[in-house]
Amino acid sequence: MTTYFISIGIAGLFILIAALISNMIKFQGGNNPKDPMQRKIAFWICALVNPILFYVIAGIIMVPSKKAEQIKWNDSIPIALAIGIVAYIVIGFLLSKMFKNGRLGHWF
Amino acid sequence: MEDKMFVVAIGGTGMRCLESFVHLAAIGMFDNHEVDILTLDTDEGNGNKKRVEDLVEHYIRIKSVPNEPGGKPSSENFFSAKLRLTKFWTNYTPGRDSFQVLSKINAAGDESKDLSGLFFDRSVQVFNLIHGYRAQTHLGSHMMYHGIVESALNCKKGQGKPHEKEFMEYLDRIFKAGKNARVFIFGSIFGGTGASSIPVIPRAFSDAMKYFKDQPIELSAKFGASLLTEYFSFTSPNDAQKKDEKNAVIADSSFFTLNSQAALQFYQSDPTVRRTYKYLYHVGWPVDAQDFSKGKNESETITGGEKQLNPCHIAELLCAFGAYDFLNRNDSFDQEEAQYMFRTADFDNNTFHFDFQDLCDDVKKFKNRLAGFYSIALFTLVYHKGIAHNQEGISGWITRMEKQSFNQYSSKFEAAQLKDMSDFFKKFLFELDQNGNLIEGWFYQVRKSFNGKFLLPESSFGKDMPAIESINPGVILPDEKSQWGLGKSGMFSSKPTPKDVGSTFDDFISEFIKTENFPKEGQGYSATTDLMAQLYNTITVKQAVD
Repeated sequence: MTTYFISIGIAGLFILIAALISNMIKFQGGNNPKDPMQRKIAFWICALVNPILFYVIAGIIMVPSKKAEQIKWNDSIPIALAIGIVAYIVIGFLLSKMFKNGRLGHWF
Repeated sequence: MEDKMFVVAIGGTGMRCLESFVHLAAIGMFDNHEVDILTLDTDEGNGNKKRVEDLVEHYIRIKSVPNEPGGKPSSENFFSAKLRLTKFWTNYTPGRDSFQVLSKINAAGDESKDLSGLFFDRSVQVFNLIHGYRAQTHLGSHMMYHGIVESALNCKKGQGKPHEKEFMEYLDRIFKAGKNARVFIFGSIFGGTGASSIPVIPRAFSDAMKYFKDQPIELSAKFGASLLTEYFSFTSPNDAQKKDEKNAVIADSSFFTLNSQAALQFYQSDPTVRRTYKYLYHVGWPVDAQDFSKGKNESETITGGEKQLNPCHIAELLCAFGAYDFLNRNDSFDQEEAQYMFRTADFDNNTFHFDFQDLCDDVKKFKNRLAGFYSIALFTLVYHKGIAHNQEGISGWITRMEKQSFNQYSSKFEAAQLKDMSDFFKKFLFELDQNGNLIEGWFYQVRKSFNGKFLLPESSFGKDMPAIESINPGVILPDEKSQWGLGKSGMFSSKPTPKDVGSTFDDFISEFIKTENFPKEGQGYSATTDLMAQLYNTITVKQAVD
């Protein structure tokens, strides 16, 4: 169960980071402003780093020392990873639609 | 019933005064007004005339909607007034280009010739009229009256040319408005065409209508005019240029002071002027005159034509504010004699220093709209990359709206409309020519016309692209509340410092996309006016002028 919470927590953290980065990217002028794409890229880079960080934390640093727990732990990682990825994308999508006229609207 | 507004621009200086007037209308100084403009000159192709007519036509196209040329008057918006343009010029085509020819004096008897000679020297009788009256106001008044009345007679006979017919329709509108017509006349009193026309225009309009309708008709409109004394100079004519009889009379700017004095004495003593005009706005420039020939390498005096394309001057803006005062005056206009109006500004080190209150009593309105229009023009030209001669920057605003999922402007603009709006900003501020050189617009030209302080800080008038790109429109107004381009105070300083320009633009866009800044009722009625209203609302919130 812990891995699931870690995965969702990390996904939430990366949503926060992606939102902060997106807000820091300034609006640009002209007919072809680059800022919407930069925000989109920031979102998907975070989407990529999110499972990596989860794997580093859950799969390397926090692995239980006992063999029996270790097997159980390792078995839950792929599902937790998938939950984290899905949670990140779903929350990102919902936020993007909620703030579609703002900077986060550029994620989707 | 609300008064109807008419503005008449006469001669080169009158055209430049009108240019200032149109820019005041563009920044939104004439809310809910409909202004009927007439350009009146002897020369259809005069450079300054063409320039201001082009400006008014741009304005009209920006406001226009299908089935409603010129659009509607609105309020609390840029381009809020509705403008209408009528062009008129006297007919001095070859074969009818001098007093001698037009009066047929050569065919008259000796007595008529002698009488004519008493009033007009021979050189005055024969010079070419196409470039104006060349400071010969005694002849000019006579000829301008003749030109106007002749057009009325042509129209009556059914021989009027299109511009003559349009002119008579213009007069008809003045007469139909009756006592509710306010007519303001722009023109200089030291040169030729304007100085000649100011005293005779009310009478000429009245008589033209009388002949056209073939019945006595009373002109009850309220007249006002600017009395602009000398403020510029140019290369004096040389003997070689005057050798040709048709060119023997050329205005010499070294006599402009004398001309001004003579004109003022005349206006002061002439009962018709004193009775007809309700308000006369006295505008003088007691500082060194601006040399219009400077840097032009002119071997001869430019007498007129398309080459007469002089830059704008603050004195003309003061005349435009005369018109602003006249047209907005809440007054019964029942005085028997003309009232002379004047004001002054801080004068130091042989130059004036102009602040907002020196030009206009509606300081808050003027400050917000001028600084606002300046900021929007700057953003459009610099940040939306509309500055180059073949570029436009308006689509940058539309793109931004689309990127933020607002589609009210999508596919609503034609390419020509985008170009017209962007071009107007260029005419206001600046543009880059094909070689990348900066061409100064009206606001820059006015700033350059004298040395003292002019409304906005000197840093707002960058002379090259790096300087222009570093202008922060968020710090151009002096009041603390209006300094929306300032950052927070730092760790080591209690005084906030200006943000970088990119952050100021980012702040503006953040406000621009808020729905509360979208156009409200009465502000817009088309995609162009709605966009302008949204920009107006945004900059008004940011500047918080009080």
